[in-house]
Amino acid sequence: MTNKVVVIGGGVSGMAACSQLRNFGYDVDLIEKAKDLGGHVKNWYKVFPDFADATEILDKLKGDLNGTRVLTNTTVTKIEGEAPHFVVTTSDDEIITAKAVLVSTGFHHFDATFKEEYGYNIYDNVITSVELDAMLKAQKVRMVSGDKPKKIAMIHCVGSRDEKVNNNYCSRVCCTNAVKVAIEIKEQIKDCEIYCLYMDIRVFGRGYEELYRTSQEDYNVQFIRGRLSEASERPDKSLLLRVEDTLISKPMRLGVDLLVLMVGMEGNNDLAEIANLESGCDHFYSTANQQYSNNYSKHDGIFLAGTATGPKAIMESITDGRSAAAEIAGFLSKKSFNDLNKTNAEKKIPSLV
Amino acid sequence: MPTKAEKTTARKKRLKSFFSIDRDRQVDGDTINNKLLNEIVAEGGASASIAACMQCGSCTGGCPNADKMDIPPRSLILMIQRGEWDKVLQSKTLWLCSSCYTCTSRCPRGVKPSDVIEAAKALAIREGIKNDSVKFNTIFVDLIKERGILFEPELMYKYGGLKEVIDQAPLGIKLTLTGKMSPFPEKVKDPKSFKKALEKIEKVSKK
Repeated sequence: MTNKVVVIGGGVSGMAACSQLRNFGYDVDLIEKAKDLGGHVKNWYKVFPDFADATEILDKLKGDLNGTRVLTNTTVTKIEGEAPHFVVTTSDDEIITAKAVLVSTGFHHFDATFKEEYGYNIYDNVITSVELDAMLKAQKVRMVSGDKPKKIAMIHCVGSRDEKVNNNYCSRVCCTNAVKVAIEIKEQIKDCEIYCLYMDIRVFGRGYEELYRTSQEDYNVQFIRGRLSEASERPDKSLLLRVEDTLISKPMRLGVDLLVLMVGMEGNNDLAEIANLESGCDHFYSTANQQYSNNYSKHDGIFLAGTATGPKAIMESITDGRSAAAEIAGFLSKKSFNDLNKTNAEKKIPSLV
Repeated sequence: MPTKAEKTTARKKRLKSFFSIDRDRQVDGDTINNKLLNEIVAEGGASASIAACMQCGSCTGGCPNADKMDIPPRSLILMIQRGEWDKVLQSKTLWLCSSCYTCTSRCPRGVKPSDVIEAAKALAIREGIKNDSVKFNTIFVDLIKERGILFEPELMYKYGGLKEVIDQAPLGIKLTLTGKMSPFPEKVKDPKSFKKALEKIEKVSKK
């Protein structure tokens, strides 16, 4: 009988899970749709809160894959059967039998063109946080004209906490990311003024608040409390922002050279039908229980990890992947799958999301 | 010859109204600068950590005089972060602060609003601002330098003439009866070392 677990999605949480599953003695197949492993993290330059190199994190996780069979440029087209006898079909028509399946398919970024009033893809000098990170990586934060920007505004909560784009949730990482890139910009362009337009500053993890404070104290990043209402382009291609300074209770007009939209995370539902997974009203996959079964899906034997179940930072995704590996090992080591009926009972409890 | 502060005030008054509509209704984000912050830091020491303010409002919440202030301490720090010297200069907050240090003792980010206000006051006085508080403080300091110990009726007389002495008399009598104030002018016990101490302070503050 097979001793295999299939992991779908080779981002940080998927890779972390593979490594642990290998340690537990399972054969692991890691299926990744892109041509390289690493998910979104492979595009990043440095990550918060310690400015660690993203490639360093990936190198470590890849090094720990520990004999996992990696299938890149591959997707899953069909999952049949029930635990512990799954039959997984890939886009290369390979048929894999597996005891359990881990879905760690991650997220995709909010499409900033939906916030038309911010002018992404309309005005030249409006970019997303993803594009800014690429500029930082190339040590070349520039306006379209090729000049160094003197004033940059970072807009928090673009595509998050916004009913108008059907995303009511907080993407959790954008605030800390904004603070991090603000510091990086200041390091690369000393005389550049940076304004963060925020509603709340949500820097929650270890070392994050300290990073926020550092950005104020040592880099003089200005924080303006108010959600950007609209941006318009001036004849010189700079942008005029209209926002309320809610701490003063007065409307504010602010001119900047470059506008950075901190785009949020959206759930990746590609496998919803194939793996028979439910999604919450936030479009991320629902877990069996929000409090104590966050790696169990409502479908027995199909597990979830990483940002597939909601916005997470890199460190949290890695931990979540390992936690999923432990849950899978626990699940498969149960003497009889009849025991499952008991755990199934708790899964009837409706989840909040 | 009008001072710089008076000129600013006059200009503000001219700009303030446009067909009786307030012109001061929008924030001009393009004027944000850290010139004032740096000046205040130079005046009050780097330890005032104005930049660290996260606008939580602990200072305003604890301030015993906040109800009388036109700009609460939290907003005053924000104005300084933004470089709005005119607003800071014209605010009564500077002169209503009783330096009780409640704000400083409660700030979660180590900002010292009382030191900031003290520094802003010094800048304002240097710019030649004139108001009752400055007058009061100047007389107060002069009398202390002269006598070493304050004689309150004298302070009241120099500040507001006989009228002020009479107005404050009921309070003065109360204070005298409870032993909190002497009815006669007193002198410091050791005028020599007091004078030396004063000289030392002046030397340090000139540095």
